[in-house]
Amino acid sequence: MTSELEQLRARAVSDIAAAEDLRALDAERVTLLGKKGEITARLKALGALPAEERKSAGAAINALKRELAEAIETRRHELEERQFAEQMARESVDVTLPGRGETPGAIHPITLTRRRIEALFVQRGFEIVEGPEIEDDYHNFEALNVPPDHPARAMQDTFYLDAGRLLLRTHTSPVQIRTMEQRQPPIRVIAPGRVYRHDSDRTHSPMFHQVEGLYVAERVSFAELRAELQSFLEAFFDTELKLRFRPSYFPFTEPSAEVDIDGLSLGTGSGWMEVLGCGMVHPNVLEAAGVDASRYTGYAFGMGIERLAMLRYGVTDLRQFYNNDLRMLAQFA
Amino acid sequence: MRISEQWLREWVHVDADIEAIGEQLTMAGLEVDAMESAAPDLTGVVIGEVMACEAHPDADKLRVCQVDIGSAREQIVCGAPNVAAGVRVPVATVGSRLPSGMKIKAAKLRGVASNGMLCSAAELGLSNDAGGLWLLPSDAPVGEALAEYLNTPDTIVEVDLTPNRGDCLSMRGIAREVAVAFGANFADTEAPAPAGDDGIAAPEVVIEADDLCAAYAVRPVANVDPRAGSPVWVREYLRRAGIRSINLAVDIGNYVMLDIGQPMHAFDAAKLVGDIRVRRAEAGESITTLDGQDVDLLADTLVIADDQGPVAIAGMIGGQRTAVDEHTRNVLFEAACFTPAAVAGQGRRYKIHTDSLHRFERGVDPALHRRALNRASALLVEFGGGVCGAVTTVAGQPVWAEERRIELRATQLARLLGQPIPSDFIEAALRGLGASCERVAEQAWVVVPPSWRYDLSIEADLVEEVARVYGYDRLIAEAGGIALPPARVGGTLLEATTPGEVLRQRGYHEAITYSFVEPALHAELTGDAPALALDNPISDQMIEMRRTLWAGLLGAWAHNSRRQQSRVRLYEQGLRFRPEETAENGLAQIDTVAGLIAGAAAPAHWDVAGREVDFFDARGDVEALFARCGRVPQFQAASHPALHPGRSARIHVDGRAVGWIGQLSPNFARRYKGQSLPYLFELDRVALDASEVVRYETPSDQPRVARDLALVVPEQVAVGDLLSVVNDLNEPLIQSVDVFDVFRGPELEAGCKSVALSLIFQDKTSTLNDDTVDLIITSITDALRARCSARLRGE
Repeated sequence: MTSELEQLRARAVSDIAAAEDLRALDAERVTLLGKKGEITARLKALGALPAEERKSAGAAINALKRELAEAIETRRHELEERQFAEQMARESVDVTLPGRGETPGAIHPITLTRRRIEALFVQRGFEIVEGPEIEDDYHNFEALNVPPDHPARAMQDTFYLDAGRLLLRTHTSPVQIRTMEQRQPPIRVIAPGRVYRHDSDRTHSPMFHQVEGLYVAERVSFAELRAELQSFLEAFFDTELKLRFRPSYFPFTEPSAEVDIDGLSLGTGSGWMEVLGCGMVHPNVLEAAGVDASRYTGYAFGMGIERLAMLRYGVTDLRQFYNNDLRMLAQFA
Repeated sequence: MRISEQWLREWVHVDADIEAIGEQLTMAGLEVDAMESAAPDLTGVVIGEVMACEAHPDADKLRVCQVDIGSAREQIVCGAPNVAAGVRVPVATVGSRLPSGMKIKAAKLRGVASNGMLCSAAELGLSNDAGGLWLLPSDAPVGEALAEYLNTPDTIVEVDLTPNRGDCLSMRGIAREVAVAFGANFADTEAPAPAGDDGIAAPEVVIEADDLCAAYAVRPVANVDPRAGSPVWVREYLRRAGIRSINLAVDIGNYVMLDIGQPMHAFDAAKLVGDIRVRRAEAGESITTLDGQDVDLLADTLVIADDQGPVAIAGMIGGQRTAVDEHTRNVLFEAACFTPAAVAGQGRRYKIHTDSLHRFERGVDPALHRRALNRASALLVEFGGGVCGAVTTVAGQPVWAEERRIELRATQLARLLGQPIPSDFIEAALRGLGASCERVAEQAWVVVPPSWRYDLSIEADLVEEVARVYGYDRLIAEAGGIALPPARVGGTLLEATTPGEVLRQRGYHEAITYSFVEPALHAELTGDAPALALDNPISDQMIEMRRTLWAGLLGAWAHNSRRQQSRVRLYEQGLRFRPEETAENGLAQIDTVAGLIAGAAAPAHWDVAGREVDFFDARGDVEALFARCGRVPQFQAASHPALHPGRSARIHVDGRAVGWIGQLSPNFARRYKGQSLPYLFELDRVALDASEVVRYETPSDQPRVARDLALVVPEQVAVGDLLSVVNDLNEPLIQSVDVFDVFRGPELEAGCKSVALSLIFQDKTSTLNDDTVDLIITSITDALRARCSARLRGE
């Protein structure tokens, strides 16, 4: 290579490296390799050389042309990558800033609990039925084997309306009567809803929620009731439970029982916790609702939704459920 | 019912501690609520006698007493008003500790040494009587530890009895259950009856209301020492049962009631005039009861009367005129069997509740009165002296018109329980409970329940008794094998979304508010529409059954606003109540969904300009609710007492009014000072039911043509009117019409606004050409011109 060509190479390499953007690099390419570029001009001038020099000189210029073309390409890549990186940097956002749009609200814990209970019983072949909250004495008491002035009425302090003509249902049990009045066994229903009692303190609310269950068919037994409630409660709390069925009294069932959960098996500490009442439907109740008590037997149960919700979510004051404080509700979103 | 362990063990001997007994009672259906010690620790408290009592030199109200405490004589300064020389009282000696935690030390009170403390019953934690020193009987042994004297090492078992078990309202009843549970012997033996002296006068007894009184019996005891007090063990047993000691005769009556279950009454025989009649009260009669209340008797209330009128309300409370007092020498004990029907509801009617009434309401053993009279009169003679007269017994109609003979079949028992129980066990269990049990077939019995069990009348009752004795926990639990068709799922369980879920996604929290609301707010919200009020509300905030869910939602909003939660979005689903003649019980109970929004339209965000909610936020939420079930609601400006007259609408679906929407009326601004008024909506739940299954339509692949129309219309023309006009053309090629701009400005003539509509056209089968679309546009603009006085902008 001639020293003249050597100088051109050195200058060109340095100029390519110095090109700070694609435009400058392209200008350099035109200066060197363009139609009027310095390398092109030299190739064109080869014809003027003596034949014996022409060959080696041509090889040297072409080698330099390839070398410079490669250097330009390399530099182009570098510049493109840098430009991309700069663009990305410009477009970047602070991903730690909060997102936009509505924050979903929450379903009330009582409703969540009610839905869970409903879903578990529907799996077991129970249908969901509902009834009125303002009831008459017949459906709330008399048809349930609680005559007027019966001491059992004192178990459920009642709100009356319209000078005693109507009342707020004290339990969901009247839905048992309404269901049996409308159809014959087999009947397998649950009836969730609001109920009312004239009572208000830390553990009593004048309004709360119950789920009633009723199964009437030709051979329904207490053994089945126990199995059903055991499996329901274990499914509800999603754990194996130690239960206790304790004899009790409800005018509308015979035999009757209350069901306690061993707190240790639930992980809430020692002691039995009452969760529901149940029993075999009293023949008087079946007959009052038009069901042949000599042919059919049935079981019924009733549970407080609040009680189950309190145990499941660790709520200790019943009244928290009804103040609708957003800071309470939002915890269930 | 408070059960003393000591007393219980007088009745039944079982080799088990009280915890185990309590456990068995609970599992027998007599739920033990609590157990507690019968008395606090009384170590160091002894019986002392005040030998001398002198005024304190430096304090008017203090006395300096010399007290004999058996082992020593102590000087004790005392401030009680009833301290006097000669009284015997409990003395807390130096070093002892009172239940309050106070430690007794040797001290000087106003310069006088005092070595101990004379105590009231309240200071010892034995009663609420803090009126003065507890004056013990004069025969209380000086120096004896009080705990020993009172025999206090005892446990009180609190049993929460269900109303069917009136028979367990006595030691005898509970003891029988304990004996059955432990398989122990139960000796229900009656003490020998004291002889009666026929010479002692007793009134004649006539039962006039023989349907309400199965038996009435009296026994006189004459010449009782009026100063005789109840022995300490009677007082202690009464105290442990929660009953106040009154006087010897009354205490004995209460003791017998607690012991065997027969409520008793003691008359001062000298104050009775003429015969005793068990009869219904006559209109206008009244009685002054033992506790001093004047009670006007309702006709038909069962009373005990002498020749001068009522002397007791039967089974409930005695009268003052014939009460035993500190001068009574001649006592007449009464033991009766009033039927539950005789006393039913009386407690509520007269607002009087007594231990006696509690028992008669639940049924008192009709075979018990004679035994009770014998026991009471024997005790009265023992502790008060005197002579028993003869028992007078008069019978009314029996409690059960005929003997209760209940058939029990082993097959039915197995059917109900889901498992058989051995015949021997069945018989033993029923006999243990006092029933007679006659086998009438291989697997069947005729059972006659004992007279004290009012709650046994049908076969299922006996099944429960057998199961109870067998132990519920020993019974099997076994899933049933009867196949039922899958449940028809009512409610909303299988719907992909519920109205609540739609609202939740739009930022609403679910509220649950009370169904009874405050009348003033309610009246304002409903324009004084008639509402159903509770006869017996629990507070003045919870009186009327809600006609609208807004009352509760506004309360919840106010609650949160007060806690600096200004952005509130709440919904509730539940019943509202409206008097309606044609509905069951004259009342419509309407399932309803309601919502409330207040504060910022969107959650606070660094890149979103804040704005308050407006009508269209609420409307968008309502539209979303209906979109869920494929319905398009119509909004028609209308006025509602609760809503801003210019920002409220009636909501219709398929021509039916289904709800309201709007901003809370400025009339409520005073009630909710300083807060911007929320927007509300309320919808009938039934209108939101996703009842119809979707019918699929294949989307068109043909190109869509979009056209915009900029219209100028008079201000009073509602945009909805414009849309209706387009809608009414029923043009199948129109896919959608959207409002994309509403504009008012100086470039328009006064009283006009510009409304821009964007229309999309599409055919199912072919590409639309401009001519077709132009024709439709022309028909639209013609119709808008004619019906809405609209013109195209720029025309």
